[in-house]
Formats: sequence, structure tokens, C-alpha cells
Amino acid sequence: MRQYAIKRIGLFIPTVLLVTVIVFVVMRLIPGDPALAILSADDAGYTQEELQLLREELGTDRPIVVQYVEWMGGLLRGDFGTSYWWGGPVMERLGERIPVTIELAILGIGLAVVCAVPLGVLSAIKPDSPIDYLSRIFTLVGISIPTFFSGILLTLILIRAFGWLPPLGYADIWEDPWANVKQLMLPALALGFYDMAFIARVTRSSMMEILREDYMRTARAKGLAERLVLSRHGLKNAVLPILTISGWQFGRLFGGTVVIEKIFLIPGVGQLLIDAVYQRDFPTIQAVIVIVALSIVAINLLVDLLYGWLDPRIRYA
Amino acid sequence: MSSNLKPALIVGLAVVALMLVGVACGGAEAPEPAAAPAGSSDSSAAATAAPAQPAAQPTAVPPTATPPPEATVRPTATPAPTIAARTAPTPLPSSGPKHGGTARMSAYADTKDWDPLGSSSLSSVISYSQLYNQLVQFDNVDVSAVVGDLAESWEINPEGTQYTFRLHDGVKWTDGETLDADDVVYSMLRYGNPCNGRGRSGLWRQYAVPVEVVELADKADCTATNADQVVRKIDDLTVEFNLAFASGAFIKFLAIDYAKILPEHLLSQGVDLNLAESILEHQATSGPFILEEYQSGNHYKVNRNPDYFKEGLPYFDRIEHFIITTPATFIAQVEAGQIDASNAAANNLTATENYDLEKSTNSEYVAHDVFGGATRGLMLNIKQEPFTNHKVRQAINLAVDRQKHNARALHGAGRGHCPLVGLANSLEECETWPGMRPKDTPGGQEDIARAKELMIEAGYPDGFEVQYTVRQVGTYAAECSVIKQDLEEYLGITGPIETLPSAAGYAKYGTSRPPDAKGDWFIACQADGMTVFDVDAIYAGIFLKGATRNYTDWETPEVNAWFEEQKVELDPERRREINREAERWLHDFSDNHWVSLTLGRNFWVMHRDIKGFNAPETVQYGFKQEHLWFDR
Repeated sequence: MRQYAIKRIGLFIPTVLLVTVIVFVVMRLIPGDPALAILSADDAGYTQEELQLLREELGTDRPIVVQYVEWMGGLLRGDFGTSYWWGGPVMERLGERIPVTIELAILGIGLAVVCAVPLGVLSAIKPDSPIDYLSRIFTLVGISIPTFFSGILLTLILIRAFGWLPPLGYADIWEDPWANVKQLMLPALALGFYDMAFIARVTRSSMMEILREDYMRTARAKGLAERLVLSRHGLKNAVLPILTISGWQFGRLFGGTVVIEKIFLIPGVGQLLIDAVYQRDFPTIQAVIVIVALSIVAINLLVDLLYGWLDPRIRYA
Repeated sequence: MSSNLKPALIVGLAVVALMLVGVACGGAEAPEPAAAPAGSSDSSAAATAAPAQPAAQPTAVPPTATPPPEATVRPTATPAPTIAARTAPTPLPSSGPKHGGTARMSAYADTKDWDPLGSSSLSSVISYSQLYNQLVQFDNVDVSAVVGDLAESWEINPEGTQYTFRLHDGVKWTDGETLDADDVVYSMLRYGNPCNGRGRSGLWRQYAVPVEVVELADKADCTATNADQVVRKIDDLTVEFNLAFASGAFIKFLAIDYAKILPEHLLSQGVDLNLAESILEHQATSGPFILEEYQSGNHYKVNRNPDYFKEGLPYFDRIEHFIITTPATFIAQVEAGQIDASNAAANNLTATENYDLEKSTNSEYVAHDVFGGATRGLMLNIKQEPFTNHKVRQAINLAVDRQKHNARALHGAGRGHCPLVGLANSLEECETWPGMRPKDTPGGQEDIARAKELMIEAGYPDGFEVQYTVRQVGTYAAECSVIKQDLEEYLGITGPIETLPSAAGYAKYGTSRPPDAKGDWFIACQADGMTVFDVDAIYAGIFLKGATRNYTDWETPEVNAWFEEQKVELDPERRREINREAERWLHDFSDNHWVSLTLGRNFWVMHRDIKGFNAPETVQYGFKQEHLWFDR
């Protein structure tokens, strides 16, 4: 197991390095000059000298390799650089927003898993039953509706049916947990709706496959109670694909909160990223993308390690 | 389960799903047509019945100014364009103003600037207006009258060319420093300096003695050489402004919310007050509210200034502004009672949606009209091919269908208009001009035919492809779609529409400002929110070099001459005649950069429990929120 873990962690480092290179190079390849964006924001206009001076000040006039090395040096020290747009350390704003997005993503995936797994299992053990039909319709609808639309739809249902919406804004979970839950539950539900449907489908098919296995028949033949057969032998074996999907979906959620944050006015990383893209604020964009990429790679690593732990065949392979 | 039951179950589930969708999509009521109730031109000022101001309120003191002899000051009263008004039913307050409460307001876009220097952004002035004061401001009840803000009183010399302001004594910045004449002189010279963008904070420059600097070319040395001749400190509480000519409009441009007085003691040390972080760090503001928190793209929160120099004001303890750029979110939040008001006459909703919001909330919310709203236009980048060719621009002016633009993009709530927005030639008169006529009339058909001829003459018989740019606010995207349809159908001009967030859009337009830059945009749908209800505001907003919406710094001697001539003209009729001539020339498009489209209608949505509100004359002022209070 240790060797397996070392191998996986060994792959983690070059992956992250590759991500930083891609992010850095792509940012420099896309059209748009940050210095121009900053100067154009002022109605006064600017001279070519001012433009050149600002480029020097921002360091965007230097060779890309020099810029990358300097940026990586900062990154290793935990310094993501200074925002081109507002002049402060990028980490200052990221520090405020990352926890919000992480919390939203955790709630989203948590809700998705909590609802999807029982639904998928029920659907699998009672095929062609009303619950199965309901579950299949639900999952079909869930994977067909884009996240932004489910957000708007949920809002409309709440408004039209109950005349209620969660309070605007964001209350810190440590300061006002109840307000925090009220504010984030709806966006988390909208965010996790797709994943709920997807995980439910995966659970159903995985469970149905397991249910046909010989060892399930053996377990029943041994006289084990059906509940134990399903949980000990069925679900435990079906959990691998669910885990893979959930891990992958969590990474997707973390990077995909942009629209939901906009609709529900959640002050997370997504909003910051949108603003930064339009302002050509390279340090902020790079920092957000690197952090999201790091999270996804880290989650995948964690899932891989969990795989090895759950299924010994994998670590010996 | 029996196989016979399966189809029934599926049908049943489908019915349930349909019902769910039905619930989600709204009640049984069909949406009403967009027709705005015509008739009464009663302003909402009367209907909202603002409460009496507290007796001790300093701003209630009328200016002790001696009105200048009428003959020496150009009258600025200009007849309003005839656009049907709506009455806003707001109940009378149950008692006098009450203190307290947290108001939750929506902001239609994020803040671009926190420093008024060079600022022309409505979303920005809404934010910083609560933090600072002007010398003078528009009255909260008689919304067209100018009253004192930091100025306790002012005097004008008999020639009407010198304004002397007396400041309130004892006004403090929130960091404890005294606000005095030095702050006023420093702030005004910043706005007046030609090295700095005029924006809307420097609109008064048009009337004042121009600030001269050592070397303007390439902004080599921006030190003012004649500061004392423009604005000077007489003593700690007295400031004198000198005008180039007598003008009644001058003081109106000082009264708009952009002309803020900022702390000299910070700015002179190089502190950048354009950043909210910097304002939060230094906490040196004077206004009714103090900035507590700002999260870009999301919200900003302000708290009551306990030491505000206007005794008893403001009434709210706190205002939380949420940046809501999505119309659906705004509607949902209002219907859920999460929002008490929009913080300006801008909420990204169409006229119909505003009317519907009144209905869906059983008039709990009132959409107040602001007449001097925004003049919608099509901006053409005259530095970029093919708009360098004036015939192309002329063809576009003839081909756009103002009636369709109004009907489809503004839901019939606006009205087609000529360049000077009904303040020179009447709207009725200009509706008969080429390009203004409905396209399904013989006149309209002539216009299209002529537009096609012009395109052939310009060398574009089959049209061309070009990128449209719009900011993701208001109805701009819908407006651009309608215009694009016209230009594609009649002239073969097509291309994608690029939408950008508000600040990014402004930044893009700004790329064409420098003399040696063409800019990154070609054609854009934009409005110019009138600052004051005067034709000078249109010139300064659109048609002069450096004007707010003149991003290519288009300039012609003809327009400059007309502007200079009319701004010093004392006879209103003669002034109007000059402007009529200028307007005909601008509309003829032998040279112009701005295709005037429709005079839109703007709405300030407010809960009926909020009192003390009177809709301002234009969309560009009235953002201090110091007179608002809850009648709950």
C-alpha cells in the first residue's frame, strides 16, 4: 500500500507542474493586454509612455520564461502575486472566497450523495417498480437540466409556491451557522442536482450488476438478512464506481460554481474568476485556476488512495 | 408491478411533472401588454409625499445667495420632451421620519471607480455618493432645485461669473480631520485639470475659467499655473469659483453626485481612493454613510455615519447593497421581500417587467419613473474601418428602425428621438426626418433605399461583417439584437454580439480614447444617462471631444462652434434656435459618431414602506439615500 501511495503522490507533482505551465502560457497567449485594460478603465485616455511604464511596472514586458520562474518562485512561498487590477495581494481576496466555494461544493456533493445513493440502491433492488420509474425520470431530468437552469427553476418554485427565498448575502458558518445553512442550502441543491442524478444512475447500474454476482446469491443462501446482504456485500462492492464519480464530480463542482454563485449572490471564487478574466488580471486568474486544478488533482489522488484501501486488488496490480 | 399499470404510471408522472413546471412558471394570470398608462404627467414627487425635514437639518436653510440679475445669467430652463408619464401610487407616511433599520438594496452593476476623478460610471457614483458630499446638491423634495450640501450658502457676483461658497463650520472627515476649503479647492482642481479625464465630475469645466498646466502634451507637467484664477480659498470656510462666462448651468453640474469633495490630506499623500480597500483602510469620508465592507462583484455595505454634519440624517442605520445583474434574480428577490429597493433608477429590467413587478407584488413595490433617463444610441468607432467612411455611418442612421427598437427592446416604453433629445427640435418635429420615419411608410422606404445607395457609394454594396459590443446591463443586449436585425436586413451588415460585464465594457470602449489608438471595438449599443436636464448635458455627454460617451474623441468645428455659441446665449429662444440648427446637422450625419435611437424610461423600484423618496429629474443624482426612512 505504501508503494502504491508513493507512486500516486509521485505522479501528483509533475501533473501540478504541467498545470502551472499550461495556465501561465495560455494566459499569455489569449488576446488582451492587462496594462491596456487598466489604463482604458479611466476616461482620461493615456499616452504610449504611460502604457509602456505600466507594462514595466506589471512586468508583462519581460520574457515569458522570466515571468514564469518568478511566479513559480512566489507560488512555492505561498505568494500568488499582486492583483493587476486592485493592487493588493491575490491571496487576500482568495482567502476570503475559497472557504465559501469549498463549503458550497461540499454541501452540493454531500446533498447529492446523501440523496442519490439510497435512490440508486432502491431503484436497483426494485427494478420496474414505481420507485424505479420515479428515480429514472428524476435522474433523466437531473442530468438534462443545466445547473444554471435548475437554480432558476428552484428559485421560481420557492417563490411561486411559498413566497420565500433564502436570505441574501453570506453569513459565516462560524458566526451564524443557521443563517449560513439557510443561505447555502438552495444553491447547494441547485449545484448538486446534476450530480445527484448522475450518482443515482451510477449507483443503480453498479448495484444491479453486483446483485447478479454469485457471491450475492451465496450470501442469501447462507441465510443472511437481506439488509445485511445489500449493505455488506452489495453496497460495499458497488461503492467503487460511486466513489470515483463522486470524487470527480466534487472537483467539477469546485470549479463549476461560477454560475450558481452569480445567481444566488454567493461571494465565492467563481465570481472573482469572472471579474479577473474580464479585467485581464493574470495573477488572480492564475491563482484561481491553479488552486482549482490542485484541488481536483488532490481529490483524484485521495480517491485513488481510497480505491487502494477499499479494493486490495488495485494496489497489488 | 403489472405491466398494465406501467403506462398509467408514466402518464401520471408526466402530469405531475407538467404541474410542477406550471407552478414554476407562474400563476394563471397572463402577462399584460406593455402599454404604459398615459395621461397624467404628475411627477412622483407629489405622490410620494416626502416627510417634513427635521427642523434642525442644516440643508433646509435656503442659500443666502443673491440671485444674479436675470439679464446676466443664461436661463437654462428647457422644456421637457413630451413623453407620457406614469403616476406612482405611494401611500402617505403614517408619521414623521423614523430612524433605524437596515435597508437592502440592489445595485444593477458592480462599481468601477470609488474615486469620482474621471468617473462617468453610474454604477460607481451610486456607490461612492453615500460616502462623500458635494458643495451643493439637488433638493430632495423640489428635485430640480439646487440647495446647499457642504456649502451653507453661496453668492454670485452681479455679472454671474463668480460664485463664492461658504462652507458649513465644524464638518469633519470620519478620521477626525477637518473638512475645509483646502479639500474643496484640491478636489475641484483635480477635476478641472486638463491632464485628468473630465468624466462627469469635471463637467463644470465647460463654464469655469480653464485650468492651465505647464505642459499638457503627453501630460509632461500637469502642475496648474492659474489655479487661483479658477478656484481659490478665501479662508478656511470660503471658496471662490471663477467662470469664463455667466452660466446658470454651472451650479447644476456642481450639484450632481459626481462632483464630490474628497480628503485633500490623503490624496496629496498619494493615497489611491479609487480602491474600496483603500477607503476601508483610511476611513476618511464625510457622507451620511461609512463604507463597512465591499466584495467585488457581490455586495457592499454601509453604516450610518454617527457624526454626520446634517443633524438627524441619515435615517437608515445601515444599507446593504447587493450587486444583482440578472433580471430573474432581481424579480425573485423583490417578490420574496429580500430587497427593499433598487439603489438607483436602474435595475436591468424592461419597462414591462417593472410594471409587472408592481402587479405581482400587489403594489407593495412601486416602480418610480425617472424621465430624464437615458438616451439610447449606437456608438460607431470612427477610427475603425469601415466607420471611417461617413457614408456608412449615414446609411446606418437611415436604416435603423427606431419604432422597432422601442417596441421590441424597450417594450414600447420609450420614444424615438433626435440627437438633442427633444430639447431643441420637438420630438414630434424630428419624427418626420429621414431615418426617423417608420420603415413601413413611403418615407421609411425612401430612407432604406437611400441607405442602400450610400452603402454602394461607400464601396459596401453587400454590407460587411463587424463585431457588436454591449455591456451586460439593462436592455443593451436586446437593443443590439434589434439593431443588428435591421442592419442585416437592410444593409447586409452582420456579425456577432459580444457581451461584457459593465466595467469590462467601459474598459473596452476606453481603448479608443488615445489619439494614436483605434480601440478594440467597432459598434456598440450604449446609453448616455443625462446628468442634468439641459441640452449642455447632451453635448457634454456625447458630442464634445472628451465627452462621456465620445470614446473616439470625435470632434468637428461645427459642433464646437454651436456649443460655444449656445452656451453663452442669454435669450432662450435664440439658444434653442442655435441648437435646432446643430441638431439638424448632427442628424444629417455628414459627420457624427452617435446614432440617436430612443429616449428610454428608467425605473427606481422601491418598497412602499420606504418614505422620503422623490424621483430625481435624471438618472444621475439622488444617491446619498440620506432622506429615506422606513414607515414600518
